[in-house]
Amino acid sequence: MLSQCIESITSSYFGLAPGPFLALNVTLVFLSGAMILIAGIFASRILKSRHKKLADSLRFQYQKILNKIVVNEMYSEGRTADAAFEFYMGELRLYSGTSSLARQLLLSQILENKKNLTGNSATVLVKTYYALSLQNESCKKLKAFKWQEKALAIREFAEMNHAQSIPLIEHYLYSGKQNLREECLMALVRLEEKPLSFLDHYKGEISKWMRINIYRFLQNTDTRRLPVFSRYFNHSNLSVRLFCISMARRFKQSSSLPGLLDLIYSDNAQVVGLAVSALGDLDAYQYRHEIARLANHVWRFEKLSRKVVACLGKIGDPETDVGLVGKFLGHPCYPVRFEAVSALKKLGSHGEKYLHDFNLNSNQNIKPLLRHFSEPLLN
Amino acid sequence: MKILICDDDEALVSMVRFKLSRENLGEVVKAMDGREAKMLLRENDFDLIITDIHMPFHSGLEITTFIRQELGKDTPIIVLSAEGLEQTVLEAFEMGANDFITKPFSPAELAVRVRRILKK
Repeated sequence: MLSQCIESITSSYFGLAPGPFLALNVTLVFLSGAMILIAGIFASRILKSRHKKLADSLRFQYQKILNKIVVNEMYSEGRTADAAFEFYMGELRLYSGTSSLARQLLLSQILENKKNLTGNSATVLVKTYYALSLQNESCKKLKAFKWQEKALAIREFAEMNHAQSIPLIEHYLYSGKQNLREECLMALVRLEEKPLSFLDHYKGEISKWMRINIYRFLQNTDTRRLPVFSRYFNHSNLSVRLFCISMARRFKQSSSLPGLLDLIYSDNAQVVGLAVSALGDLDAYQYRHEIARLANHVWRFEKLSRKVVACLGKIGDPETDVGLVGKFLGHPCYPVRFEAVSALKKLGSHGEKYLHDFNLNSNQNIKPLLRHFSEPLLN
Repeated sequence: MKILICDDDEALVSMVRFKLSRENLGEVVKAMDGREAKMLLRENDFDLIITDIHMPFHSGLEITTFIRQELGKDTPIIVLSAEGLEQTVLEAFEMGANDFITKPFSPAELAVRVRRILKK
């Protein structure tokens, strides 16, 4: 029926056979499709470029006002300052209006400025964030579908010291996305009144990246605010245990020495190694006998042997422990032998004499080791 | 007085320019990358250069070497960097920098240092 109809139309109107007519139709459809696609691309480009222009112009305006706010730090007290601040807030409100996009741009511009600033200038930007209720924008972002947005929101809360958001942030502590978990953890470290109190119940992993970042943050924290890390030495989470041992070591918490001594009897080699290194760094001379006893049992474990020998080099008794450390010059692993040379050198004249005698008696087979040790570029 | 600030961070450049102009420390010219900085340095004489270390095309340390060795000028240089490692600071001073400021910093402190260097 349809074919008859087409046939009659084509033959009566165009004088064409149905085949070529169909081909013409298909071509026309494709052509118009392509035209619509090209128009769509153009429209999207125009929209994007307009959006970029608008964003650039808004950023420029915001920056002009933020400069005035930041540089106004000199008048941070008194009525004039308050009035000026209110005036600038009014200007920012005028530009940002109620548009979420404009407010997000303002928020990102504030963060962009704050990352370079310290002191009153940074404080006034935090004040701006709250004066304009930009925490609502961060909250919206936290509810977004994309994890990147959530991570950004968490960072904003942390930057702006928004402690009220801790319960919201804690929600993502065990997120499937590692980056989000890490951002969350860092935010908690920065926001909690007692840093690291979340560790009490923490079941996740503390990655190297997190350790470095937490350490960097804690370095700038008042040491009186730091937790006593030894309280986490028996934590059920191995990652927390290892992290806290290394923090006790870094922050030289001598109150954790008894706890560290207990850890050298742990059944986990990583824990033992870290505890031994910590005891060495904390100059725990009173425990040198325990470390010396441990040295008799670690021969089979390369890493542990290195750590025990290094520790003895720091806290060992030059007269009594030289022989014990010297035994490790015959260890099958080169790094252990190297560590033994280093430890003996640290043990002073007794150690030096031991090395000299050993070199003579062993037909100079530690000469390359000694050369390696005295070559700074190889160390 | 003519000051050149080289940094690829627009917000920072804008803020520093504003602060220094507000303190009447002179005309502030900006360069957003190492190449632009070199070009401006070849064509102009500046009384002070404030440069970041990490920039596109040429680093702040390269700019410092360029000023001292290629141009042979002793224009005061303040290096501004987020990288406050001892090694980096020493390297900057060895290459001829006059001062080093670690980011984040206080704009007021920067202004004081600039004023001191320009002896205003």
